[in-house]
Amino acid sequence: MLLRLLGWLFGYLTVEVTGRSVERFMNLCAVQKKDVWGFEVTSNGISMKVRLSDWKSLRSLAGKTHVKLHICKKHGLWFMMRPLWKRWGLVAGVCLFCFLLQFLSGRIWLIEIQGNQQVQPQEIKSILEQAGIREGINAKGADWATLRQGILSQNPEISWMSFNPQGSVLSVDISETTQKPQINNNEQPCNILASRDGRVVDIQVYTGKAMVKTGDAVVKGDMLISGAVEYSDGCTVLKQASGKVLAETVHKKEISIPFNQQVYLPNGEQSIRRVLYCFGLEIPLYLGSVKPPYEKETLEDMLTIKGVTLPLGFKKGVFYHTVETEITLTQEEAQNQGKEKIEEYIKENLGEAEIQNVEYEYVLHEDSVLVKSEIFCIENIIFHEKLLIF
Amino acid sequence: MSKDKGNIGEKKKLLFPKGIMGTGYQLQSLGNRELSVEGCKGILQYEQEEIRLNVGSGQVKVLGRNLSIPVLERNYVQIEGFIIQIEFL
Repeated sequence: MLLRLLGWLFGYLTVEVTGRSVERFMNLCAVQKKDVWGFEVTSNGISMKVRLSDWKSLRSLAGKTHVKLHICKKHGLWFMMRPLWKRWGLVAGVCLFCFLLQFLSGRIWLIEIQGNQQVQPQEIKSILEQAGIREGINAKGADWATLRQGILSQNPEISWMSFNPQGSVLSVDISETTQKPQINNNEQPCNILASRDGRVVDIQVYTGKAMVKTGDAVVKGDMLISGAVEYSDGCTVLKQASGKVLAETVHKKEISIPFNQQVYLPNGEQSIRRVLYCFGLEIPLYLGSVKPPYEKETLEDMLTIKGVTLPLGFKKGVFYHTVETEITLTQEEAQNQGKEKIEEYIKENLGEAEIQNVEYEYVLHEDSVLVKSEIFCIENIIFHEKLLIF
Repeated sequence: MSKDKGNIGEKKKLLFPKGIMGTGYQLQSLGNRELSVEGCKGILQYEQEEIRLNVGSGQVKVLGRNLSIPVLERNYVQIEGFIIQIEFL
């Protein structure tokens, strides 16, 4: 069955052999191991089947044995496709398909990042892009070892990395560097003082002598850890104090929100700009640019097959046109806006602190509302002060 | 005792299959529809009712109706058709 299928794929001929020495011709075919079969007697001589690849060599044998060969029928895919050769468009399409299949299958079209915890995938993608690894690169031509070394040497936050190209998918496995504690090699003796008022809830002394204990209330400037360490034999050594003192602190923040504000509001008009994203190439499908002011929203509609997003699809930018408008806030809206701003302040300035509670107080004025807040948190309140030795 | 041993050796020698050294030819038929000849040196005559094969030590003539040769290889030929008679010449 398999041989028949192969014969059909590569093509074969039904040939009529006429002449006196037909038997000799058959014997020569057998001796020279020609791929011939299916001998049958016909009115003029015999017919047989021959593989297309052996046809030319049979003609020389025919010359030797003085027989004539006549092709009766052509079989196989090769001959079936032959009439289609005249349709150049179809042929060009098939050739283009084969070329694209060959060309595109050797390229990376999907980059999967695994193993990252702290570093965002977008950040890693930008690192990879800087190193020249992006959708569309030739997987076979890439020197992965050199690229890996380059990325590792330039990005200390990544400790280990491996590239595993599988077909058109590049799997990037990374391990992030564990940040080593900052060691201050400056041996200048110093004390640790409180940077804020608060109540100590936890104290960890690495070097020096603790001057406060858990539960103590401290004010700004109080000594928390002393750099002067006195030993049992009466000897005092000055050291650079180090440690961590967590304390309950209170931050106060006030924000005034005016009732009348100039803001940019959408006027209801919008412009849509589409971009065809095709294997790393962005082809704009629009003419002209959008005049500001506007608010932009980007939507992606990528082709997905079985959960795998392919680098093919449309990117749509929706531009909402805005106009400068004077608005008047209600008291509640102004209070909410104030709360939002205070939350932003907390995120920006107290990122490392553990927020316990936030209390708000609103003071109403004629043209604004004053939002007062008290932020209760637990934070490290240390700061170093050099010891002055006279 | 020695005579007995000699007899046994002679019997074994007789049981040794002929043509095992590859000098002979072998015919295998599937009813009267198919005949395979191993050790065939060539085709001497090929007609619809008669095929004559060179088997080295002689000739094998196959008579029948609608005889065809679906397989022809070096030292092997397969004949199909309605076989009536096989002659050894």
